[in-house]
Amino acid sequence: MKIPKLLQAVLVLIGVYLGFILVFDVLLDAVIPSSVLAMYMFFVAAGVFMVFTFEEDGTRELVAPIKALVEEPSRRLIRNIVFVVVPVLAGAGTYFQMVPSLDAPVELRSIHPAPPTAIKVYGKRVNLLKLENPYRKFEKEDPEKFKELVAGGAKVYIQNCQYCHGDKLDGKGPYAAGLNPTPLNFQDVGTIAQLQESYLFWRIATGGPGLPKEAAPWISSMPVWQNFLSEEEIWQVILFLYDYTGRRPRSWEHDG
Amino acid sequence: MNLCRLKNLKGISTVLAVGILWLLAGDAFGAETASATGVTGGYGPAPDLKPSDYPQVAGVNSRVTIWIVAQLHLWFAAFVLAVPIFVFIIEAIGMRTRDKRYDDMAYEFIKVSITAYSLTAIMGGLLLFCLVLFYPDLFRYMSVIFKDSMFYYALLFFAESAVLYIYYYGWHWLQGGFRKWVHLTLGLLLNAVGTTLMLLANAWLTFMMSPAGVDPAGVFSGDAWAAIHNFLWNPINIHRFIANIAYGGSIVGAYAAFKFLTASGAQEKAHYDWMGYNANFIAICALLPLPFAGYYLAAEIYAYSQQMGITLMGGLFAWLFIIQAVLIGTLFLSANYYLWCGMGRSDGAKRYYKYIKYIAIVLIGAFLVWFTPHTLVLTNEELKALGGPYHKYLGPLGIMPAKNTAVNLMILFTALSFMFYRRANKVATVGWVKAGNAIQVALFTTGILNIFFLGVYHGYFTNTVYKVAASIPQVLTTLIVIVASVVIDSFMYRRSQEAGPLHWGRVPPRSQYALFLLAVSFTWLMGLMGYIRSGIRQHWHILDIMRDNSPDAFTPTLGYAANVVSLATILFMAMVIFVFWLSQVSGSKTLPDGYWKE
Amino acid sequence: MRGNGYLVPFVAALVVSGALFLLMDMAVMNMQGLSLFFEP
Repeated sequence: MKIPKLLQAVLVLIGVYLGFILVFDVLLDAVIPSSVLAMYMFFVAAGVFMVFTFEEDGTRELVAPIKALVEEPSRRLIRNIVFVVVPVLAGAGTYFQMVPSLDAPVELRSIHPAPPTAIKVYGKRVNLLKLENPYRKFEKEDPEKFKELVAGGAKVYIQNCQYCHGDKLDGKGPYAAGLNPTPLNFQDVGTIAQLQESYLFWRIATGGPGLPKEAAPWISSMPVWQNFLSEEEIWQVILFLYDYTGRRPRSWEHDG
Repeated sequence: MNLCRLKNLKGISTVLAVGILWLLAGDAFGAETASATGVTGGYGPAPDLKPSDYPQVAGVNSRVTIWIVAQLHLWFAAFVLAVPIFVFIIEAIGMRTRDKRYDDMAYEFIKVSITAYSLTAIMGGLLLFCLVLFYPDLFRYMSVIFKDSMFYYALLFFAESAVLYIYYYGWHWLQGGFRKWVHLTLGLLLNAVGTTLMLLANAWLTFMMSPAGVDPAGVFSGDAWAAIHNFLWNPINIHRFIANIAYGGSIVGAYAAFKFLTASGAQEKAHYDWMGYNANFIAICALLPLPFAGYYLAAEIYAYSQQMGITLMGGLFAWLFIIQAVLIGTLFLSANYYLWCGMGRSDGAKRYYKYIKYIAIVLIGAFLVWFTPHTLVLTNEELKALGGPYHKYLGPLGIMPAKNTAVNLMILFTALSFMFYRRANKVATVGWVKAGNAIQVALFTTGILNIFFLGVYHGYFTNTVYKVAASIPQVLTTLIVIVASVVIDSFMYRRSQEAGPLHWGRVPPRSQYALFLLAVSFTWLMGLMGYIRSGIRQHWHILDIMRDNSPDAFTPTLGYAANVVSLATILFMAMVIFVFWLSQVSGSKTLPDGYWKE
Repeated sequence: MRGNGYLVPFVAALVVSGALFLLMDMAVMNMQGLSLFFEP
């Protein structure tokens, strides 16, 4: 038996929707955010509409049941039911979307607030555009020394950072559960791999209070590490972050 | 943050504007003469302004006013600069094929742009007034540095108008043989003048983003070329030149759709269907390379200032980029839908219908990746379930390599749609059809594999230098696949048979609304991106040199910005419909009974 | 559509175009001072 076109279209939509839920929520065990799912489904629906209506015969077949429902005198009863049920459903949907809840409002955070051109740290003015990790050069010039520096950074990290950022640098330290937003996951491709070392230096040295106005009200509990660590220790810990995660800092020059 | 961009002061209405420029620049000229003998060069630092230095005029919000006016001016300017480019090409095609339909279409295109031309000038004049009234100190500072280019700009407008009017009004006069060549040459000249105008105006606005030829205090070195040839000048020039063509095509497409939907006779419908098809073809051809030009521009912005780059893509404006991605995807979808609908013009198209759904699946799939946000909006429950704001599987889709791979696929499959469309009405007669098809399928296969290899391997397993570098072979792969397939096709369908006559006009009205959607999406997109480009300077008139301290300067929230852009889009669309309506009115005659003396 | 008339040119084109794409990747990466495969 041939499935009517309208039903086909509806089934495709339901199938894709359930597919997303199945893949993300069940198989991958990482829920698909409802905001993303809503956007995805909107454009999947647009695509289904395009495929089902680009030629005349198919379109006629698709809208035939709807046309019949509206026009045919014999379907008066079902028409009246549909004309009541659909607006009621739409109204209910709107109501449940708008009804105030006890949840905290959804927040749109900027993950990487833009850095200022220059910052004041350790009592001096530093130009972030030109700032470089003084130890990075040893990676090629003196690998032994570089290893030592990374090990130094590891020590600093374990003593200071892992409580929040985790001993695997995945943002799941012992204190992480108590923080919102949760500490940064350095293993993620979207974090330190996207940034220059000077950016990390800025974030570590000046912490939450050093965030620019656009990130206000800052809700980061990152301490101002220039009060606790030396400049050298910060640069070493940055080496460690990249070394352990296997990521490369963003750079403009070809260092390959 | 300020939006009083000097974006394309394109439409200075001739004498009046020259006069104003002269007056304003008067001091500067004087200063230069005086300093000819001096040592310092006579240029002062950029003024440090106080809120009270900005005049309040009639109680209006100066920033929003100049924002909307500049945007309207830009839209019209983009349109009237683009139309002569493809009118020139269509006229040349007409001359080569000796098919008069092309000549008529070219004439009709330029006719639409004539009314828009005066609106461009009016908007340009209004923009200039707004700058002088609301931001006199900024304008004075800019006009000292760009005094020569502004003056020549104003003079060039005479040339532009003169050439345009001869080109348009002389269309039917300059026909046949040598005269036609003279007319075509005028078209070329018109484009040369128009492009020069755009390049000059681009220099002024890119100077505000990446100032050059001035020291950190804003003291001008006197080297006007350095100020013009600043870091972002060429990236913007390339991007705008291509985008203007795509935009012009889409607006003309909307015009054709308007005429198609209001047409009464079958012949008229066929004509405007054909016109809409050609306009859409122009828009798509220019749309395909556009993402790469945009990528180049964004990369150069990043290279110039990490701060602007991060504000753009990762910080404050990141969500506007998601809207941008959605709109670009909409452009691709509506362009494809239009092509698919257009297959109904051919009786031989049924053979290809079964492939359409696969193209749609790839397009939609790539589109979803293309707009997956880097910064997810999560409810608290989702945040808890995920254990943090990072999504293990969606996160990697939020960054550039995934977007690049997706957009290359979208472009490839749009090209495929187009190839199917071209084949729809043809039956190949050469003996190697099977082999030709096999080679094309193989080419697409290896091309797609290569795009994935470059995107996945270099995007996720190397560093940023490799990541950025790999986007170039990715683009080249796409271009090679498209060009090679089209070449193979053209040989394969040489001396092919027609499946039947092409039924121009046999398209559903839905397809015409796709053309409207294309034009509206384009307009909205340009407004949004214009705001982003200008807005990433945040609280600077001229980045790091001249601060915007006006009372209305603040960084709008996303919703506020989107509303202003929407308002401007509606205003522009209303004016465009007015232009369309005028063309309708100009063609109709009323014969009043007994009104005139016999 | 299948059969030798299709399969042979398909495989041949697959191999040739695949090799050419890899060569192009290498050339373009080399022009930018990089190699095809990542060298830190």
